Amino acid sequence: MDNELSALVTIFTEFYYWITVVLMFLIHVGFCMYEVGVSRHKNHLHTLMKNTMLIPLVTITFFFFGWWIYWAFVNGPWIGTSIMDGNSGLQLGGGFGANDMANPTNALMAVNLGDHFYGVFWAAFLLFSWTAASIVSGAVIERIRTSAFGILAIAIGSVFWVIDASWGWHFDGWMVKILGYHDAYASGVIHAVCGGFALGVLVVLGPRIGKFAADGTPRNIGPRNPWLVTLGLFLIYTGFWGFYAACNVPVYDLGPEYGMEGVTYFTATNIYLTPTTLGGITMNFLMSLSGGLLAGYWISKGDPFWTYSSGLAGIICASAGNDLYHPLQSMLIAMVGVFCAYKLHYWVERRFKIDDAVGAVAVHGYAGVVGLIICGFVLWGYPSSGYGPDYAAINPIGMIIGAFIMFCVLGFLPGWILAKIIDSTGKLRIPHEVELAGMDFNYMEASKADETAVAADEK
Amino acid sequence: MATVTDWVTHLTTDVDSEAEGIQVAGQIYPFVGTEWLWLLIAIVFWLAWHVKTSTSETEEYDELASKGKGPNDYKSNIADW
Repeated sequence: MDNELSALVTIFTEFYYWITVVLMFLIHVGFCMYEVGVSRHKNHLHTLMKNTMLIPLVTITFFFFGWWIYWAFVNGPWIGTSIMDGNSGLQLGGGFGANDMANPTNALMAVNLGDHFYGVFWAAFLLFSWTAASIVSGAVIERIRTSAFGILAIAIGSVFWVIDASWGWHFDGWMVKILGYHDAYASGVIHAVCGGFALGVLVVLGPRIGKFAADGTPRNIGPRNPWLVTLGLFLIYTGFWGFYAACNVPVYDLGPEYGMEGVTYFTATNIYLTPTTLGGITMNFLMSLSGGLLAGYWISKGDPFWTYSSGLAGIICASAGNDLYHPLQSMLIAMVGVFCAYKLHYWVERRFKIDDAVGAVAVHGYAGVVGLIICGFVLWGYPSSGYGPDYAAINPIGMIIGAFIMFCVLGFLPGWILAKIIDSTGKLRIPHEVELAGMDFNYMEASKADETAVAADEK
Repeated sequence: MATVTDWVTHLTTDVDSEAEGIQVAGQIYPFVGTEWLWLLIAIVFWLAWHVKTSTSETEEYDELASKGKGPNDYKSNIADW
């Protein structure tokens, strides 16, 4: 920063990402409130701690290796070729984007007067990682061991979603170059992959006791506290706004970046460094939220749980192309996503006896997949990048393959395999007797004893 | 060892020059160059945390399971304060 303009841009950008991180913290507050609101009284504290402890676990592992993965795997490895140095293996050196700087011992991974962006950019990605793990957390409440969930949270939060981000959410990612994959606000790279991962875990984990009648008919368990659920989802909406902002670069000169000689073009960009506007994406965010709420209220006949969740599902479905859609397209796409997610949730629940306690697989997984597929058709022919003709244009086939990679290859499969491994050690699910009594029984018993003792002294 | 002992000197040191002084390229945290040691300690702690908490969780659940409580017994333990 050796002149006032560069200082202004630098400090503004640093502060911009810093604010998005604070806003995104609200997503996690919302998820905690939501999960506790849905769980029964006898499981509240364990439910809360499960979601809370993913914060430190994902944070430290994202520092250890998650950030490194994001910068290392953009070429597959050995699937695509980097536009920076022609490398097709792990991106280990040379050119911007090389991941030497993401090594946890690198000088940039600390307070460094030579760099103002790196830490807040790391933090923004870390908050995405918390969200990834938290999506899975809601689906498995009231029967998973906290220790098992901790391992699964690290797997999805610091490994698998990061791989897909490296592949499809990076300006040099092979999925962008070869498939024409486009996912501006993460319909697939966060939501579809986490929905798939949650489904893989749920298949192995099984339903809560009493969820299904002897004849297989599903029963509704909760939500116990609709006010916590309401506040939780409103906070998730709010944090999601911060997430949208965090997916952008607020000020960027695309002229020299795209090799346009003598051209200066300052704009906001998405994560692929293609132009968009913060105003436009704000309209699309609100219109897709509205489309989701309208469709959810309609299809669920005014059920509050589904209506709120549908607002979220609507945004998730439109997110892949919300950097380019018209607001009315966003609204209608959101409605289609909600319809599909709602119908698929109940079909899968009845057909496969899947107990998804918060509808996470539907809201994030199915809505995300539908959003990717729709994006492939609506944005068919758009360039996936401004870096030249080596990049495939956005197209339906590429987006369908991308959706499969997200939901199945990097989502369902790792979730299922990891859950199987943990289950084989007897450490995945809590004992039957504990599930009946409630995981908080000992806490509650001790609290009641204290209350009785204090009351006796007060007499 | 303090990485910064004088802010003026630190901020005016030419990091691209080999002329004189400690050439620290922007880092201001202490013990520059020992990052691997801190990383090693952190990873050991992280792994130990998993082992310890998993063990104590199993002990807690085994003890609770042995009580043989029913699905509604918790209701008598709901504190009113």
